[in-house]
Amino acid sequence: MTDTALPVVHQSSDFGDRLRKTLLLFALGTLTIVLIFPLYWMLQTSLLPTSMVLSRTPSLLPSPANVSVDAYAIVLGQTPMLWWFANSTIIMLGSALLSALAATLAGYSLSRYRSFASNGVAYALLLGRVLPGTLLALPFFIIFRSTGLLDNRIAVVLANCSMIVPFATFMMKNYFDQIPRELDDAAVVDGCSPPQMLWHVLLPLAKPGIGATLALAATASWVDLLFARTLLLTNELWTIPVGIASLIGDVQVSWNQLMAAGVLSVVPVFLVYWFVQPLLVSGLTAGAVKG
Amino acid sequence: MSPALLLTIIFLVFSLFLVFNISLRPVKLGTLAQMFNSGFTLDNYTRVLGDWETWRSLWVTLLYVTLGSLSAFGVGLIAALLLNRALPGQRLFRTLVLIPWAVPGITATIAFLWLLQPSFGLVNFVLRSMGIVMTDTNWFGSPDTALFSVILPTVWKTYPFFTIMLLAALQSVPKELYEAASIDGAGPWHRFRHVTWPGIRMTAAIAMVFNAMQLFREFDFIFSSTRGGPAGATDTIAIRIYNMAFQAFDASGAAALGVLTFVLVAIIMVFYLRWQNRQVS
Repeated sequence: MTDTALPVVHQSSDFGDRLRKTLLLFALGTLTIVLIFPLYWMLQTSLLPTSMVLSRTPSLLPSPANVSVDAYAIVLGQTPMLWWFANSTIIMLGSALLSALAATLAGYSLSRYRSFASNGVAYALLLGRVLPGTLLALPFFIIFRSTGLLDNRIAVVLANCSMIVPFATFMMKNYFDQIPRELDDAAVVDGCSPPQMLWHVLLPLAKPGIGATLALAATASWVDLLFARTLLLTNELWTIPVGIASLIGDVQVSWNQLMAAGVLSVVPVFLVYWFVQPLLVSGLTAGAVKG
Repeated sequence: MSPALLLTIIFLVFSLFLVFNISLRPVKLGTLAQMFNSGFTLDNYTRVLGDWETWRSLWVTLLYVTLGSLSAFGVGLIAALLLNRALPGQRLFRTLVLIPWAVPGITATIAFLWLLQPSFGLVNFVLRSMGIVMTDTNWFGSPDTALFSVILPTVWKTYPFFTIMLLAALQSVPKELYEAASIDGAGPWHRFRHVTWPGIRMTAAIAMVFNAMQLFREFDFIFSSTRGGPAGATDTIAIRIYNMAFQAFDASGAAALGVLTFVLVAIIMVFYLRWQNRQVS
């Protein structure tokens, strides 16, 4: 850093620089290994045969001869894991699509038409962030019970959306704010109706924002334990988190199976980010419109 | 104004109204019709306020939120400082360090339940083989260690939030300031204290408030591991409301505790917003 300013210092500290860099790299490497270790340990355990899980002297590396996918076979074949996977997927898609649709339209109108609603959204957002979800689970339970939606996946979708929409609307409003209004005007001059303008002009530009909203909503509903556990009573309707929670402490379920369920629960979240990443990156090029 | 958004807000406001309404009635968990048929009372509030377990919950919440947030901040800051250096493999390290953020809370919890399992868990094995503790500690099952145990998955899942926020803030600190500090002969600690910290202090404070709010609402880690036990050692307000409503079916008690929580949070928010406005102006 001080190279050009103080060449003398540069010469004498060349070795010191390198040493410091090596030490920093070592520190970063160690930290990363420690932080990622719980996931590694989960994966390692999930690949052990059941007979080797309960060991008083566990080994850090699995020997290749002992690697086994039995735990996965048992979790997928002998628990309702596949049902839970299907339910989680349905609820995730429902919550993500519904809240992205609501948030895009609401974000657009908040961005283009100033109204008292902006404050309303801000307060709803604040409420959603500070109040314990367990407090809202109580009225949600009562409302859905009274309307006959209890023990129905729709109830979980609606509960998830009510938490996600205020925040997602805020995100989309900020996103639309970045798209110059001149584009709206130009489209109107060219004879577009407002829905046409939204569809043909603004939505293509807002794709990265919508992608981020979808990813956020999908992740939030995939990991939700509270609402799914409260609103779904039948085993076959449960989601992955509720299902895994029910496997904890079950004497029929060994630790390698529980860890296999954990590994499976992580995969879709990583996939979501993998697929959404190009959309997020293209958000950088969206700036090219400006000017 | 979009109808979908309006519906969402009505739904949230009606839910809060329902909580308030139920808190004033002597009812068990039931349907709307059953609940609205009973008269009004203030008993729920006197009952909740007179229960020492309510105050224990408040204390446990305070410990959980403070210790959890501070630890997550510490880990997040160290990770951010190291990731901010120009080191080889930086992109890979960044991805790896941020991964826990995307892991579901329930999955983080079972990972730590297994690591801390008394007889076959890795942590007790390491402690045994190093001769530190010869007896197996029941981490999640003993009142002395349960709170510490639920804080571990909490910190593991929430530190990446601090890392992301602080990394962004670190990159906005002007490089020239570091050069000037070096020329003035400032060591690493002085550079951090007088250049880095002032540059990231505001972000750190905001991230801390967000994280504290998150931990205040937290349900997944505690409920799926200890359910608030043993002996109330991990019984935070959020968990207590849930257990009252859905384990004891004491809907009105849970609602009363909820309304009191709401008031407490509102007071804290007023102070926070006032503080934030003072910082901005």
